[in-house]
Amino acid sequence: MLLLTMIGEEYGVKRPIDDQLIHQVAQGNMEAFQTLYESTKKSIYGFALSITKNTHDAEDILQETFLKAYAAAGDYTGQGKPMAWLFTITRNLALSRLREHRRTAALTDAPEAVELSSVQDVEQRLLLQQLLSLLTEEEREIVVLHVAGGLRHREIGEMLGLPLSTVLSKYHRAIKRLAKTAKEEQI
Amino acid sequence: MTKKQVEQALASAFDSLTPKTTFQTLSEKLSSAPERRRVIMTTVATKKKNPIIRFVAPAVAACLLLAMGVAGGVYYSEHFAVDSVIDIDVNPGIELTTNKQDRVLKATAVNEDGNKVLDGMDLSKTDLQVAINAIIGSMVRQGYVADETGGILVTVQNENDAKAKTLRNEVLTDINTSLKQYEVEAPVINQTATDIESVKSFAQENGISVGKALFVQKLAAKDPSLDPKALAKLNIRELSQKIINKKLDIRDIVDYDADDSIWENIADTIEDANEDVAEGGDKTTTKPKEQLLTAAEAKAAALNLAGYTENQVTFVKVELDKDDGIYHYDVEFVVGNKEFEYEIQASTGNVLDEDVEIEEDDDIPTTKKTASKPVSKTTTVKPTATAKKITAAKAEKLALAHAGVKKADAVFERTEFDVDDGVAYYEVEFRVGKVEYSYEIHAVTGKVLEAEKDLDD
Repeated sequence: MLLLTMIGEEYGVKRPIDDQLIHQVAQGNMEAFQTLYESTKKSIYGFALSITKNTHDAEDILQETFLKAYAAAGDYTGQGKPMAWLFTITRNLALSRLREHRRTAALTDAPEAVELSSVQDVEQRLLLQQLLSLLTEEEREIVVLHVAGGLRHREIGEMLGLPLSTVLSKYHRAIKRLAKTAKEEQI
Repeated sequence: MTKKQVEQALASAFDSLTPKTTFQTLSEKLSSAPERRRVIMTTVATKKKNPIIRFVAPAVAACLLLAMGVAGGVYYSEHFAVDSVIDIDVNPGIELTTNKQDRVLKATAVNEDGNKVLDGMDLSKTDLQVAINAIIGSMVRQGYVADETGGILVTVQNENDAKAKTLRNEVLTDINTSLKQYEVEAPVINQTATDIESVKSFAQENGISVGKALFVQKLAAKDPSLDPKALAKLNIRELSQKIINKKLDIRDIVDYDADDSIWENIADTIEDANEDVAEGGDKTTTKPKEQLLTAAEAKAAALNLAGYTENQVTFVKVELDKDDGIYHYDVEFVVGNKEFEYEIQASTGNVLDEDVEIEEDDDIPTTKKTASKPVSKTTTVKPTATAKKITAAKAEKLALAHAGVKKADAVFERTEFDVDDGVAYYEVEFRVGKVEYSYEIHAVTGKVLEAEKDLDD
C-alpha cells in the first residue's frame, strides 16, 4: 500500500489529486499530505512565482499554502475541485504579500530580476521571463493556471470572477503576444 | 513560434522550476506550528456541503446567484435556527448566517481580509440590508471593491429552493443599492445560463460532441435558412465554407484569432467548449445583448470606424474600463505602423474617443509600451454620434486635398481626435520632404479649421 501512495514520478504510478486525497489529509494522513505536496508543489510554486515575481516569496507562499491547506482540509467541501481550492489559497496569500510589499516598498525600488536558472532550456527560460515581464497580472494568472496548473478556462473564470469568454480571450491574446515576441527575438 | 509551441514550452519551463522546499522542511514546520493551525481553523467558517459558487463582479459582467438546498438543517427555535447561510467570499471573505426572518444571526470573517472588512463590527441581530450595506461600505472604503481582478463571490444556501431564490434577489438588490450609494457603478448583468441539458441531448441525438452542438446551435440562430441538424452533419471545414458562403459574422460565438484560419478558430472554440463541459453539468452563459456591449461587439464597432476587417489588424487590447462613472471599452489595435485606440461606451456603443498614432519605424505593439502615449486623453469624454463623425482616414484625405499633396508623397506623423471648446476635430500632421503640414479638420463637417505649413531647416 505504501508503494502505491508514493510519489508518482518515482514509481510510475500517478495518484490523482481528488477529493478523497484532501479528505485523507483532513484526517491527518501524512502520506496523503506528502502525495499532495509532491504532486502539486511545482504548480503551486510556479503560480506563486508568477504573482510575486520573487523566488523567495514564492517559496514562503508555497509553504504557507500547504500549511494552511493542511489545517483547512477539514473544511474542503469536496466539489471535485481540489486544485482550484489549493490555487485559491495560494492566490490569496500571494496577493496579500504583494499588498504588503507595495505598502512598505519605496517608490524608487527597482523590480528585481527573477531567478530562473533552474530552467535550463534557453528558449523556455526566455519565454518565462517574457511571461513575467510582458503580461498583465491577470493574463499571467490565467496563463499559468491553465498551462502549469492544468485548470480549465471555466474553472479559472470561477476562481477569478470572470466570465468564460473573457478568460478565453485574455488567454489567447496573451499566448499570441508571447508567440509574437518569441518570434521577434529570433534573429 | 506557434501558440501550441508556446503553451508546451511554458509547461516545460514551469515543470523545471523546482522549489527548494522539501517535504521534510514542510512537515517540520507543521509540527512546530500548532498555534498557527488553531488560529487558521477558527477564522475559516464552516462551509456546508455543495455550495454553489456565483459571482457579483462590481466592475464588469456576471452576476449569477444560485442557491442549492442544504441537506440537514439545524433546528433551534424560530429565531435562532440558522435558516440561510450567505457567503460573501474570496478576497475578502465573510459569511453571514440569517434566521427565518432574514435577520443576521452572525457575521464571520473567513480570511484575514474579511476580518479587516468586518473591522470589529457586530452585525448580529441586524437587518440583512443593513448588514450588507455596512459590509459593502467597509469594502469600498478599504479599496477591495476597486480591485477589478477580484470580484464579490456570493453564495446563498437554503434548504428551500424558492426561499433561496427570493433571498438571492434580495441580496443582489441590497448589494447593488449599496454599491450605487458608494458611487461604484455595478452593471449587474444577469447571465442566463443556457440549458446545457438540451444541448447535451441534441449532441447525443446527432452523434456530435457537446462543444460542436453548442457551436452549431448558435450558428443556426444567425440565419433562418440554417438547420442545426443539417449543420451537425458537416465537418469543420464544411462549416467554415458555409459560414464564408453565407457571409456570417461569427465573432461573437467564436473567440477569433486572426492568426488562425476560420476553421482553426472554430476548432479551438469547440475544443474549449468541450473541455469545459467535460467537467460535467456546468452551464455556459450568454449575455443578453440589450444590457452591455460584449467585447466582440466593441471590437467590431472599432474596426468599423477605422475601416478595417478583423484579420487585417492585430489587437493589442480590448478591455472594459470606467471613467467618471461611465463604462467603456478600450479597444486598441495595430495595422502596419498605425496604432488605433478607441473608447466605446459600453451601454450605447457610442464612440467616446478615437486616437490614431503613426510610428515612423516598424515598431510593433510590444515595444510600444515604452513609447509615449497619445496626448488626446486630456479631453473630456463626450459621446459623439458615430453616424455623423468622419473617420480619421477621411480627415487625412481632406487635409491632403487642401494641401494639394498626394498621399504617396506624404509621411504621416500624427492623426488625433480632439475636442476644444465643444468643437470636435482631427489634428492631422504630415511631412512632404522638408515641409511640415499641420491641419485641424472639423470632425463632423470635414471643414478645414486650421492649416499650417512649415519649412523645416
